[in-house]
Amino acid sequence: MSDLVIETHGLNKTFRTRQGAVRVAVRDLDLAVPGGGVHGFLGPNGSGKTTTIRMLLGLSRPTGGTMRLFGTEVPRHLPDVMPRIGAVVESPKFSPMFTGRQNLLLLARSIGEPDARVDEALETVSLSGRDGDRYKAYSLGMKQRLAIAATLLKQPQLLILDEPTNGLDPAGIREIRETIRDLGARGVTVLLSSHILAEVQQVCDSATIIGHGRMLASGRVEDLIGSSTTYRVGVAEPDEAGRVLRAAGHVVRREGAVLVVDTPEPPDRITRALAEGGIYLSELVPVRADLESVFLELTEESTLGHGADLGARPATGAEEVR
Amino acid sequence: MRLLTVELTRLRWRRAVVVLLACCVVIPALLLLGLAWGTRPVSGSEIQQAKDMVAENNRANQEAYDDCVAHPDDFDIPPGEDPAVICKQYTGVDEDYRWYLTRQPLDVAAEREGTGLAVISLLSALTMLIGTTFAGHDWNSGSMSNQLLFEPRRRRVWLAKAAAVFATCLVVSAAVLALWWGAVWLLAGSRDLQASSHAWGRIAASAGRGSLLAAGAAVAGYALTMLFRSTVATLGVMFAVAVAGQAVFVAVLGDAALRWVLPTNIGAFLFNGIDYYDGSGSDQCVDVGNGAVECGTGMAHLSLAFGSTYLLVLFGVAAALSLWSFQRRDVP
Repeated sequence: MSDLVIETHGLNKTFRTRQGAVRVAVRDLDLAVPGGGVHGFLGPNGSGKTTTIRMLLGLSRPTGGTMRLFGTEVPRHLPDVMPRIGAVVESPKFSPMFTGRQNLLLLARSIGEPDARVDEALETVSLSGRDGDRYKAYSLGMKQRLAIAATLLKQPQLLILDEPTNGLDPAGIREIRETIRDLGARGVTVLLSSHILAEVQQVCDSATIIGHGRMLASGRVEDLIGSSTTYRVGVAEPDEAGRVLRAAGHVVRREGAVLVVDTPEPPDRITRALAEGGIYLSELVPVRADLESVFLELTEESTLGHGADLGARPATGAEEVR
Repeated sequence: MRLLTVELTRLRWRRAVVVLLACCVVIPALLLLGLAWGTRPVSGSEIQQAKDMVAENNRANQEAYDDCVAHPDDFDIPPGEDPAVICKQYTGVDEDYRWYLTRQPLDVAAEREGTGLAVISLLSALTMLIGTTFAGHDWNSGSMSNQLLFEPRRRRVWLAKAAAVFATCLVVSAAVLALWWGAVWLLAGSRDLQASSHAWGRIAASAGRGSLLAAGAAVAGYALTMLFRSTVATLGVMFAVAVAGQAVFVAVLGDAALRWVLPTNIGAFLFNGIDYYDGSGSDQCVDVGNGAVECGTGMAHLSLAFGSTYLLVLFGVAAALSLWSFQRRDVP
């Protein structure tokens, strides 16, 4: 029995356009999300994130490959695991003429949850005072909160959220992020699909980056960022220092009077190498890479047709075959 | 059962459905008022009015007749003819007041294929709209995908929604038709015009099948909308089939095609078989002796069994296609 909550192997999805062309949305995607914590699912528009989520949830049929949720093969056995999964896919979708409460009541009753569960969920997302309003009168932020309330009706063990903070005001965004972190801390596995890289960096423990339907990188957020940590090194003799550091196995380039060192090693290795070469530091500043730079680097490489580090596969970009 | 209850609630909460259900009651009530008014007994004042009119006409005719007899040349009476006879033909006399009392009394048995059919047709159209709008709203709002996140077994979802539509429309149609014929019975009773028990038996059978037809129409509308995923597309297809499809069918295949069109088969289903014109045998005449010939009437009979089978096949194909499509296709 696997500890992975979400697994896909060689997942494929192709669409046929009206012009008869075949568009590849997801290609040979291997996704592995361990249980517990918040897992980011990153990728530019059209990279296949939502398509992957829709396939996992049985809304879309894969063209090839296998998928498992909680170790159970889906979509064949999806009804067995669906009671443990809450999801918001793309924008919230409810009946516009029903009130927020009516929408949730129908969903709760369809899974046999008592009506009181609706009150709890509405309370959690601070919609109790507006639950009698029609859904069409809600702001985008309220619609998002209602969608999140719907996911909480099941008391899920896996929460799949596709751009959950879209349209929320700053306070709402903070609330939702706190809710997500809180759920993750309580043992709920959260798959957070988001374009907001800072959000993923703040909220997620691990992340998967995809581009053009392929996985480009996956791992703990710290590892993804840390793998390309950069230091600014100030010395009196930059040319000599550069030679010493290169000899020690670091990647070095000169930017004016300072050196820029890319290394997976901890910073004391830099100071030791220079000291052993008789060179003394005047400045050593870690320039922390953020997820955005990693993301842009990986997706750019994907677009250009190069593979990336961190377990990336060769990518050829979106393909359309007539 | 849980899903069925949810879908019944969803149906009840849909405002468009409630409005259409109200129309199922209000419009037949208006039709009933029209029927009661249109078949009301002739009043004494109406008879007196007619008699006065006849007396006036007869007096005018008599004057014209007298003038004609007195001055036959002015009326171009041919020479040698008796003016008294010819003038009678020219002017006319002796009108009967009953000629001016053309309103027919209520005929309960005849109403089965009159207003009774109108009510069933109306109910079928409205329930079909109920089925269509019920499914269409789920697709238009995108809430179908949300529902499937809670109940991913698509066949169950399809069947629960279909059962909710069928049950609601069957109950409403049966109730409306029962109320309709109950009201007609009361109306006829108040005018001492009761029909035979045989006629009432035929009415009850038609009303029962009419309820089934209306409920079936609702599920057909639902099934087609689940197939096309759009209320507008379903209504467009229904309009095309009902109007253009039938016209083209008959234009291409001639009167014989009437056997295969929807209204004829609905008639056969509702009225325990139906006679329709297909032209067959109308040009085949036989000598029946004494110089007389007898030609075919061109009429054919469509049985209840044929009509029922025709409707069941159409319904089954639509439902099967819809369910298959819902289970197979991606949900937006």
